Amino acid sequence: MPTESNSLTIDPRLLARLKGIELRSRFLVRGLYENRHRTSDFGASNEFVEHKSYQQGDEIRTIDWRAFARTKRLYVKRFEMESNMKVNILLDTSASMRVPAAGDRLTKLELASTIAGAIAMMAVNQQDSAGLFCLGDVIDEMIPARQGKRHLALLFQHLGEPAGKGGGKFGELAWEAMQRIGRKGVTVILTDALDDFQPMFDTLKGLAVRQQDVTLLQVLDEAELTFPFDTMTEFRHPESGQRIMGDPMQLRTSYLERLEAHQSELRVFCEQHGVDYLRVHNGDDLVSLLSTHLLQRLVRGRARC
Amino acid sequence: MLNPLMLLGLLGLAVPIVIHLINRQRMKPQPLATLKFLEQRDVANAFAPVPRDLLQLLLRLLLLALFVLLMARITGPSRTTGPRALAIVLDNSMSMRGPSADGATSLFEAHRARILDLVRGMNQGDFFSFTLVGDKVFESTGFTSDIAVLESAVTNAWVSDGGGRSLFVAIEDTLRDLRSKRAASSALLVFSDQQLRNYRSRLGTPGLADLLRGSRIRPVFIADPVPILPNVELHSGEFHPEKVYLGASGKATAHLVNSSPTQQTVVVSLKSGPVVIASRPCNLASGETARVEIRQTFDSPNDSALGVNVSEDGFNADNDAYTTVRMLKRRQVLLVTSESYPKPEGLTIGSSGPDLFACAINPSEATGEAGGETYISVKRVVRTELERKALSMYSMVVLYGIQMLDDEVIRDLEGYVNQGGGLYIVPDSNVTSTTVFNGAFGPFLAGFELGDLREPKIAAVMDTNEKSIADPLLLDLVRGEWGTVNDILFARYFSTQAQGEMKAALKTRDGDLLLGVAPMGKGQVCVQTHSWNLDDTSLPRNLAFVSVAHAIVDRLSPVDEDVAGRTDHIRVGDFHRMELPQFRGLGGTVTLEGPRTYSFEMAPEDTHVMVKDIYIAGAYRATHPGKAIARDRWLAVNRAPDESDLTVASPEQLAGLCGGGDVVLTSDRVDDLFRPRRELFILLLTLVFVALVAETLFGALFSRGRKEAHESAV
Repeated sequence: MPTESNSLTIDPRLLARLKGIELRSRFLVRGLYENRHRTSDFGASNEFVEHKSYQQGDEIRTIDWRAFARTKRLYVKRFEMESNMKVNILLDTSASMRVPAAGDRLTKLELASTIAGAIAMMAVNQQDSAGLFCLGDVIDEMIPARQGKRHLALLFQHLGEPAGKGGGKFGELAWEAMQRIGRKGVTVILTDALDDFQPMFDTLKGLAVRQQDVTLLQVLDEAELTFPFDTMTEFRHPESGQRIMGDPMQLRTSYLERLEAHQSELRVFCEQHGVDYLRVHNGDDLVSLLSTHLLQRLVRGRARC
Repeated sequence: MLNPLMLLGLLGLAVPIVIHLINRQRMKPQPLATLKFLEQRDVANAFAPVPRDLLQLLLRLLLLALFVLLMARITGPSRTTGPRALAIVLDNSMSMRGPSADGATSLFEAHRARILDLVRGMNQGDFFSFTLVGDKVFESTGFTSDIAVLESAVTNAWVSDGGGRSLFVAIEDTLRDLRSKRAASSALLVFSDQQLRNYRSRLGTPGLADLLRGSRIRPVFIADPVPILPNVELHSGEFHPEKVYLGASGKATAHLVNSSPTQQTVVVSLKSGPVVIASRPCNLASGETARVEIRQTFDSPNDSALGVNVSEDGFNADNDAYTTVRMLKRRQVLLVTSESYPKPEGLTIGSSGPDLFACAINPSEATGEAGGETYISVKRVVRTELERKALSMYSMVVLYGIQMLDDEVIRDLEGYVNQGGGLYIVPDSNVTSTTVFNGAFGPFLAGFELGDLREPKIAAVMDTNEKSIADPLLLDLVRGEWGTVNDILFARYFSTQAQGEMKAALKTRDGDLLLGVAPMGKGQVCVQTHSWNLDDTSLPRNLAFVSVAHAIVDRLSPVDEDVAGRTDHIRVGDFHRMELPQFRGLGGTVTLEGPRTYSFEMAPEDTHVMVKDIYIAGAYRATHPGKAIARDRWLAVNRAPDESDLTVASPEQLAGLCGGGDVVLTSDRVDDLFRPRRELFILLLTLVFVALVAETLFGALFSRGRKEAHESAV
């Protein structure tokens, strides 16, 4: 159990930028409590949906008397039901996310934890519930989505020092986590997405089937994107331990080509399957990038509605 | 290759490789999550030799190698010999005075002529050094291209009478110097008769091999064949005694060695300056040694330098030897007796004390013969004649049996003794009153007073206990070194009333003083309490009597300061302190004139000069400009010993000294020594420059390419 002292700290500038941004699902959600999010059920909100012939058992107060006056038939008015939203965060805590960054930059895991914390805080602040799954070589942490500041503090403690080791099975573990998430909600996946795509694509498809609004935040190190090495270097994979030594000047071109192909494949998949995709690296200005993306997402969501 | 040690720098070629290996060892693994995008095929290619890197590495290695070769100063074939560096060593030891192969000139002259030809034939860029060496290095020009300097040094070269002790050391030094020049065409030329004795101590050692190893120096020993000539060496010549009295004689001894294969007849001469005083022939078989003596009587009061000479033979340099002879002043003794001792006439020798004493000092004079065989002459007078004598003419006055003298005579004697004269007082039975005697001679006796005349029934025996003797005048007599002492008896003598400050030189066993000595002013006084009469003592009948008489005269006669000290004869090159009391207080420069003229400084407070660096044998006369008329002082300088051994080192021995290398033993044409090679300095320097520029340009282009590639990738 993480201690209080290891609790996640988020850049106040980021919090300030995210303060006015609402975290909404692009789809209908389903929650236990009433909130601002639309659901597929009928409830007691002000949003009129349809008339329905009165049947025995319907509440008398829902009868549209104006319609009865016009049609002499009994109709009841049905309204949308607004509920709260479950935001589940799938955080990749494998060894590949823990690779030390150059200089004083954040590691991929630290960056991902920060983003996760910010999203969790947005959710909790708007009375939604937030849950966390830490996926290393197993599901190391599974915190069901709940509301409240105390729950947020619990999340922050775990995000301050995320549990996890090994790696290489993020897709499979995400599939397992998906089974426990349920339907209709928001799922945020934070990973470097460097494992085999197929398990993760299956999971993304599964989430889509479950009407989850999925956001894939691919977190990378800037060095992985630019490959800035210029002297003979021995490279070691943090999970498998595999070593490769060579002249980066000779390897850079083909490396970048393969990386770009990898990224393209991921990006195309996400576009085709409605997965909100954002690539973040530790050299980016997270404050503007994340807030901008969330704003755009909000605008897109409303437009879609 | 002129600097082969620099080739060790080629080891530096390993440095880039070692650095690469070390960097590889120290390579820190770089974690990379995107490792799967590095394909093994690309990695394999990355390790394959990249022409660009390989070319740059080769350029760097080439640059390093060229720089090392430049430092190593490699040489290559050429059409010309190029600048030559010659170190010329000329031996000027005495053996070089021998005849050359053609017999027309000396060996030294022949070698000098060759060297002059070499110097005058210097080409542009050549640099030579000239060293004149024998027992020491007399001239060294260092390496120079100035023909005038070299020509002057060679022209003024001279041959000494010394040995070749420093020859090998000078060769080593010159070789070391030549090696440091690192010239492409360099040679060491040793012009000498190549006497084996100059190299013998180095045979069996590395010799010159260490200095020649790794160099391009050609050692050349120029040696002409030495003709076998008849030679009788005057090994040494000496004269004994070195100090003679005027009219006395001495003998010159010449030690001869016939080193010729045949019998030789030579004439040994004794010369004073160029004048032959005496000579005698000598016949020596092959290898025979002989000692030839020539007797000579000296009639001139002047000091002289003598030369012993052997008549000319094949090698004249070893035919002379020099020595000095110092003339001593003849001593005059004034013997004053009482009137009771008349001077004996004719050949009769009396038995009285004065007669015996005079006879002991100079027998021929005592017997009336002309001249004298000893250096002491005795003038005998009676008391009344004393006042008419000039005492300063005499070195000693003997008062025998005198009881008293006139006051005026006493004062004269007092002044005489105070100025350094000697006074010998012998009382006998003529002294009837010791009171009068003590009163008259009191000023001379230093508190001593005669007592009564003793005539013991049993004659007294002299005390042989040395502890009872305070003055060593007759110590040899007491020790019995002059003969037996048991039969020396004293039947009549005066007792001692007061001894005063008189030091006993002889005593009886009863403690009575027999002979005492006391200083007075610059002179000395000796008192004897017994006479030399045969009735009074048996000493005149003893063989020791003559020695006793001479010892007393020697002690009381003042010493001639000018002839004090030893004679001056040295070997060439010796360091010698030459006493010159006649130049006392003059200071300035003392000149030694002989075969050459040398000057030495003398401080005013000194009475000597320190003679050094005379390398020409001969007799040198010391003169001082401040005292034109002074007693002659001579310095005999003799040649170095063993220079007559003309055994030549063999080619094998010389080659062994040079480490078995390529040694040229005889050569007149120095140009033939060198293969035409030149140093490739300019070529290598150009290549280094080109390689440096290429490497720099390539490095700059490569760095730029890398930078651009990196920036585009980022």
